[in-house]
Amino acid sequence: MNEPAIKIEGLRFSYGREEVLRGVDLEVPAGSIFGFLGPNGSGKTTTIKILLGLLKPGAGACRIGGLDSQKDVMAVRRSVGYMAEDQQMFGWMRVGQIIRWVGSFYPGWDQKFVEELVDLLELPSDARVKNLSKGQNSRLALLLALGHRPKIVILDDPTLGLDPIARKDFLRYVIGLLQSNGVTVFFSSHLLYEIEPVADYVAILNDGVIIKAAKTDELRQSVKKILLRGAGDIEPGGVGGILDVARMRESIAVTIEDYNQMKREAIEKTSRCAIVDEVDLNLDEIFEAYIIGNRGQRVKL
Amino acid sequence: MIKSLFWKEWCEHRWKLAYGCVLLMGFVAVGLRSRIVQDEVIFVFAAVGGSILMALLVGMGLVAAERSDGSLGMLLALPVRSWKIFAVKMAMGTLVCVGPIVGCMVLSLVMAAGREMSASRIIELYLGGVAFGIVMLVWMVAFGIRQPSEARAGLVGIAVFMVWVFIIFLSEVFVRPPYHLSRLSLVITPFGFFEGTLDRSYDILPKVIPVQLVIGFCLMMWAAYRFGKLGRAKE
Repeated sequence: MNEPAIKIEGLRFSYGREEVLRGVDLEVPAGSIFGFLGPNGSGKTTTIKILLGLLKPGAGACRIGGLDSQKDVMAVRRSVGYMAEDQQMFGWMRVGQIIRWVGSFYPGWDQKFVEELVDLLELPSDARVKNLSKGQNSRLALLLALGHRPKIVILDDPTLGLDPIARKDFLRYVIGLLQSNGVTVFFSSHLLYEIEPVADYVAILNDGVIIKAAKTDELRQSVKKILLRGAGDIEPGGVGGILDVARMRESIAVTIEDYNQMKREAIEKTSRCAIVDEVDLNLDEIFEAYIIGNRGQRVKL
Repeated sequence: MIKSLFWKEWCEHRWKLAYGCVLLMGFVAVGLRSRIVQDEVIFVFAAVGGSILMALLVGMGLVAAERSDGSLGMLLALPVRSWKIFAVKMAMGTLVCVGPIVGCMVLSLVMAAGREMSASRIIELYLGGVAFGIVMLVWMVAFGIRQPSEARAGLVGIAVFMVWVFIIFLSEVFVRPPYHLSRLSLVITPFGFFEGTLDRSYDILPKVIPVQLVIGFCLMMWAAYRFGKLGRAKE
């Protein structure tokens, strides 16, 4: 079996007394596009910084591309492409200058490939970085992350601050450049709709723990919203995996994970209601159910 | 790799070097030409004032400027050890800090050596300034490394200077036996360099130089350690 591109085990980290990561376990399969989801402040950037050796974890271990992210820090940084959240670059440098400058730190820098990327990403070589638009800035940061042809690319909320058009543009470039080349992409975001079309796998991080990690398609198939109607009530303790329960006029909407025939029967039995509809959810709605679902509330019809 | 780091630092700080040279060397040139005051006044002002001005100017921008514009994160994520980045910053900072003072020294030697003061005396005065500037830069960077803006780093520099002045003043209060703190204060603050060069108390220099070297080395180790941790600050 192939070694995962990224393996995180029991990762814990605190900023002073504030515990940000509380035992994160994660495996990113090689060659996949992995969506690392979570609300703001859930610990996504902290996890990424630990992966790159920019932070030292309180406990746990990370391996990236077979390297220990704490012991082989320089080797990790040389082999991984990294685009930071809202990446600020040296505004006084020209695009061509910053490309050559960053390239001088990577032994495997492929200048020919980079020149192709400059054209593909429509970057003006002579412009100063401070004069680039937000979209151009993101594309330049992407180029700098890819110039040494890494096998693993970490994109930390790369579309933060971009307008919808620039965001779509950026994703188009990411998919075009990486998906077909067998590169593992670890893509952190809180914007689900941008992850959904591109990610093979997703993990949801909330409050410092991974609350769900699965293949994107499987997650979409296993989490359903069911509409119940009848005279009973729904008691979440009765059936496992209920993420959210909400009243909708004359029915109750129950969002449930790992939904199957057994659970269907259990719900009908315990609630004394009839299931009138089963609704597929998009990733955005699934994420919402995991993060802000009210799990334990009893709802009466 | 190191060459690239030097190039970046040079591009960022060369205008400060040019500014310092124009300002201080212009002052020395005009002052020595006009002869309104004694040459020594010009030299002392350029050496003392110049070293403080340049240390503040450079110390403010060395790390804090990159923290405030957000580019430090990119720098620290490169595959280079953070202590190397810091060492290059300090090397370039020192060059920019002392460059204008050395420039003033050369100009003073060309314009006024042997006129009122001998060449060796002029060199002594300026070397005192160079040493003071380097020590002030080291202290300022060490204590101000976590400041998020240039203004705040500048305030740290001023505070460092005022603490030294305060130590000197305080030591004068306890100058009489049994304390003898006056000379001790000159050794632990870089004012000892001026005492040695301006007042020709050469006997203090063998104490000041090793003490300041040890303090400077410890402060740089501490600063390099803290510099590496700057990427760890919570976003």
